[in-house]
Amino acid sequence: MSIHLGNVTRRFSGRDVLERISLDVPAGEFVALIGRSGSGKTTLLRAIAGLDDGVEGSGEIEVPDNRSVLFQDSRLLPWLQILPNITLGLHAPDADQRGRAALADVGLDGREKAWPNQLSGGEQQRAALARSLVRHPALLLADEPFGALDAMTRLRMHALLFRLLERYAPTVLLITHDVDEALALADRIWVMEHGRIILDRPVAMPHPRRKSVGQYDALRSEMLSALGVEAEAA
Amino acid sequence: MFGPIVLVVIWQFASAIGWLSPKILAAPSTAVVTGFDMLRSGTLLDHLAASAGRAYLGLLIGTVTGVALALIAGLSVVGEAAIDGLVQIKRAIPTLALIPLGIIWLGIGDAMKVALIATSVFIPVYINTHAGLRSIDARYVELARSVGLTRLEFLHRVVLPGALPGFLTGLRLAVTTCWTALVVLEQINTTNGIGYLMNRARDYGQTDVMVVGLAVYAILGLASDTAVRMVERRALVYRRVLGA
Repeated sequence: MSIHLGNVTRRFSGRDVLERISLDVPAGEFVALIGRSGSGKTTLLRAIAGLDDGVEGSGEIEVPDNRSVLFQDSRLLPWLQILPNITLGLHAPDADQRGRAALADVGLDGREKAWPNQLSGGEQQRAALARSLVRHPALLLADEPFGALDAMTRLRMHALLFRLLERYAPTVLLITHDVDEALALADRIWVMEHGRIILDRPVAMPHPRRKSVGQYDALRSEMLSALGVEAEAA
Repeated sequence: MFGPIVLVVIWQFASAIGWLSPKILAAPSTAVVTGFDMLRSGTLLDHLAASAGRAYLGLLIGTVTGVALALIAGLSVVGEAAIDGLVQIKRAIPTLALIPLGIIWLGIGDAMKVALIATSVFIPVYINTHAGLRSIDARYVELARSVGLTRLEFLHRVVLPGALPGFLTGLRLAVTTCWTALVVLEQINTTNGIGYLMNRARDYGQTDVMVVGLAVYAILGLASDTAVRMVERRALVYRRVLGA
């Protein structure tokens, strides 16, 4: 198992945000976590990432040390050029070389010396993806990394992410509010509500996935009604 | 530069037609001639060097102290509790009010003068560097944790560059502050310095020398500010790239 959680609870000012969550994710699986805002998705991701010191809670969490977080914002340090941003905290003798290779992977070769604010939103998020992948993480935790991008850019990012994940093969936990994004990418989808995982569905369709092919529409309707959204006819 | 030029023209005109007596204020032209004479004889540069030595030594000590205290207060809860309140109290006390104690502790020599300049300089450096540290985005701190930066890397990659804009604002204030205390301090047991020069000019009623002294302060203040701004432009280049 790559991720193991046993009875994980997190509490903010007396209110349970995560309620005794137990789950296991095998190595290499891509899990998408969807849920309404306030359902506890981000709290769960932060707990798994080990970024929630000082939050009240209990339970056991076993995750690989070699994990990387992709945030909703690219979170590039504005005072560092792109290459040192990518290799930030990477303690390897060939860090620069690996950083350049990762930038080439995301199509940003030649931009090593650019400042973050010279890149477009999509480019910044690609640089953030390079920063995650350059560490060859065993676990990639992504908190709505494409949420702030326009629809076209988001589709391109999906294709890029999918291609790169085939090569690096980490376990992935992706938070999204977009059911179609989850259906396009994930091997398994969890729906979260009030601090619990209320629905757990494997997605066994081959890639690339399209609407109205295979189980797509049935799964989509199930997800949407679990989220409390009446599925549209389309 | 329109305002200053108009002022000088009116001033010169008022002096030339006799409205402004040299006993009250020397004409700009007289001050220029006097300044040029003092420059040629070397007296102006000697006094300037003496003042600059005191001012910049005080600036150096005050800046290092201000940054060190800001880092301690900004990076630890204990440091914040211990230091910030004291600095705020110091800030409320005018530097010149510390002269009597300074004399008792350090004597009437240069040590006292440099120490008092340093105490007046460290306040703006501390306040602005501290504010810069506090304004570092918590998201960057989280990023630093998630990529596993060591304490030293965190300082070098996140804290110092994040606090740099605040520090430079503080330094811009400090480079002018370091000269202000000098005028008074150089009344005490000195035989050189711009402050001494101006005080002696008062004894002889030399308003032209006073104007020269004021002009030197103005030039030094502007030059120092320009120098820090140039450093700022280079150090904060990442901020300009889009607008440039």
